[in-house]
Amino acid sequence: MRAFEIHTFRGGKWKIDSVFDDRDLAVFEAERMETSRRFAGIRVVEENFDESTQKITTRTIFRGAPAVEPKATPNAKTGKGPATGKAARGKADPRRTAKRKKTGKKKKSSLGFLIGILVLSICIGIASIITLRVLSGSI
Amino acid sequence: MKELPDETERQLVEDELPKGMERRLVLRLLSHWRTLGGERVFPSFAELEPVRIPDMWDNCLVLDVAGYQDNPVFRSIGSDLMAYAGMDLVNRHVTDAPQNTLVAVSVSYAAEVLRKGVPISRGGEFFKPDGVRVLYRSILLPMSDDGKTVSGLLGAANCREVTDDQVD
Repeated sequence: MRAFEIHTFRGGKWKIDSVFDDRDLAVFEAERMETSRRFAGIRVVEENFDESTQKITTRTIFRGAPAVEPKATPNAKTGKGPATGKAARGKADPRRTAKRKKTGKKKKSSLGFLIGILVLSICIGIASIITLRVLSGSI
Repeated sequence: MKELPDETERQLVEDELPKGMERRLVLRLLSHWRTLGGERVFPSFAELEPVRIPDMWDNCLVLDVAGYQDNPVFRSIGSDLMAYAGMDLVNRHVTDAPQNTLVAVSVSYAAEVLRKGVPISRGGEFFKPDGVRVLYRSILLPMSDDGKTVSGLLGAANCREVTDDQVD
């Protein structure tokens, strides 16, 4: 017995969307769903039930291209990103975590740059004042 | 290509469906079901309007499962499906559907749809009492009136009789 399941990736996990007994129909529908860009991921999984061994074997026969994940909108009250629960943190996408770390490093370096400019400006100012006093003294 | 004689009768075959529309009934109904549901898991029967799907409604059926989980009840059957049933099945249980009919094979996997809570499409063949082989394709789609529990199934099916000279 064979079945073709369309799975969609939503809320951080794969869920069964629909089931067909025809491979071409399942793949056609999956491709059509992919064009809608509503799902972060789409795949078609073939399930084979062997009656003699009473075992089910599965294999992915179609995997759609991942859609662009919607950007998290900041929380209106705190100005921070949306709160994430423990489960969400546990299942956090490592790509997103890496991106957050990179953004943190970028903020620190720009702040250091500004401080450096400020210190340099102060030094130049002090040097100018001293120079003027020396010159006025010599004149 | 072989040249045909001038007196050959030519008949223009016109599509019943608008150009570009998906021809397969089960996929059209599945698409409509997704549109009705939107972001929800199940659409509601309250939103189902037969006038919006005139090209499909005659091949559709509605099963009531609230209180009839083990043996759903037909609440609506399209005219084309009814013609294949040979009897009025409205307000009758699925087990009352005559065997080896399009209606019977279309609802034979209703229990699986209720168990999984997702649309399931099946196809196959059966033989009419007169021995004619019939190929069919059907789909059953879960519907919910409260958004959480499946209260009924929307289904559709069509078929094609295979005569001896069409056997592949």
